[in-house]
Amino acid sequence: MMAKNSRMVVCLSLAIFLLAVLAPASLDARQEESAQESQTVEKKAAEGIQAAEQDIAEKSQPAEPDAATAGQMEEEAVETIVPAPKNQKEAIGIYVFLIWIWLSIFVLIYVLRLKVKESDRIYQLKFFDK
Amino acid sequence: MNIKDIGPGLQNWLDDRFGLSAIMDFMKKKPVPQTRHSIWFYTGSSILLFFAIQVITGFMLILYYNPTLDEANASVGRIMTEVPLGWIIRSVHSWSATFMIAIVFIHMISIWLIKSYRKPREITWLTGVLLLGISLFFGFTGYLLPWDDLSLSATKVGTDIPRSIPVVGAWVTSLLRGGEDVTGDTLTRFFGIHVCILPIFILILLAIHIYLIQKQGMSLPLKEEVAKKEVRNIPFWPNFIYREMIVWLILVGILFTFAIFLPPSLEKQADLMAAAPEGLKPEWYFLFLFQTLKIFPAKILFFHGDTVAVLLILLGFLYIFLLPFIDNKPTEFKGKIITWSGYAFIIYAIIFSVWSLL
Repeated sequence: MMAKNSRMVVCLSLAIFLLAVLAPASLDARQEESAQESQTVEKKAAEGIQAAEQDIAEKSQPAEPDAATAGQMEEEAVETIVPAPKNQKEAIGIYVFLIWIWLSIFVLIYVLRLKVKESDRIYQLKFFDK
Repeated sequence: MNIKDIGPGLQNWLDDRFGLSAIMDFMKKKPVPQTRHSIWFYTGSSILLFFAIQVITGFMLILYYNPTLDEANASVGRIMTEVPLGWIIRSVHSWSATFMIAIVFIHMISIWLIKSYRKPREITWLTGVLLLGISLFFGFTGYLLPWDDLSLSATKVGTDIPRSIPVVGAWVTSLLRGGEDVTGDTLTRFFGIHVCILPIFILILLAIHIYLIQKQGMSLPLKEEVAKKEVRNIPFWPNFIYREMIVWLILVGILFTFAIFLPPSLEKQADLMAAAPEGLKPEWYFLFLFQTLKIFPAKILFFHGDTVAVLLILLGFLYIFLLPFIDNKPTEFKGKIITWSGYAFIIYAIIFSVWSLL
């Protein structure tokens, strides 16, 4: 029973470790792939619709903020730095890391509880007394 | 050499040089009482855990922090925006400080209430109270380092408090500030205290504290000792250590969750000429003292209200510091009064902290 449990724990730990290592890597690869794909599509489309886009952009562009408003906005931005992930990739990486931490903690607690039970049993048996 | 022999071989090599087996034998024989108060035993090692995290994250932050008037705020800003995962490192440092001080308070109160400071553990208590003081001073000096408006104003208020102490007050304020007012010199001084002077003191006191705990062992709660009950013990190694590891893991998980979801922000660079911002508040662990100082009137009879308040607070600290010597008859009526004073302290600290926030 004990050996079976240990095997299960080892497999579970390995799975969590692999998940933690592979998930950000696969996300990274997927992001690169989608970036490449979108670049190709964009290139093709850009030639045909460049003129039309420019037209739309010119029409929909909001009026430029006056100097005073821009200065105020800049000042507000400088006033407080609210820490946060820099981009989507970092945000996903951090959340995966947090999930990995908690999963590892649960696995380790499970192992430690077994160890506590075992060490208490050995102590009660006075196994090492002599 | 067989690969299986490397482990035991290395163990023997280290044992010959450091005598590790003697330490292990000692830990295997060291009994840890299992009573309904045993939960408080875990607070001590949890403080050590957070202290270790602070040292590690502190080393990381010091690589990028620049303790000068022009660069302090900007360097913290760079840590948060440019250094990879710098904002998490800063957040873990800040939150582990908060957790450490919270657990130091819990540790001290639990020892007060179960009277573990009684003979022969008086010096363990004295070193513990000094460690609490150093932890608070760590928090106070660390608060100024981002050099933003809030930290500057809080430091101005905090360093002005000792001025009310008769005779030495002005000198203490000047010593802390490095002059008459809070300036760039104060920042450099606080940085030096935070990363050099306090760590030396904390390590010395910690070494004495841990040595005494190992030498005298974990204390039995007073009730169990008086009743002479048969108490179940478990060995420190490995039974108790395994249990402690479970607590450490949970705390590390909570710390990272807080650090990721609630990171501390950074206000704009402090302006030495600017007025104090509205709603100025110190860190949460100074709130009850802050509120105590606020409720005193300007004059009490012939004395300044501030002087009376500061002297009363110092008297309170002295009472806590000398508790093992004041509580020399813990089983008698006087001992019970002292236990109740512990409960009164908890209620006072909570009410005044909440009041300060309102």
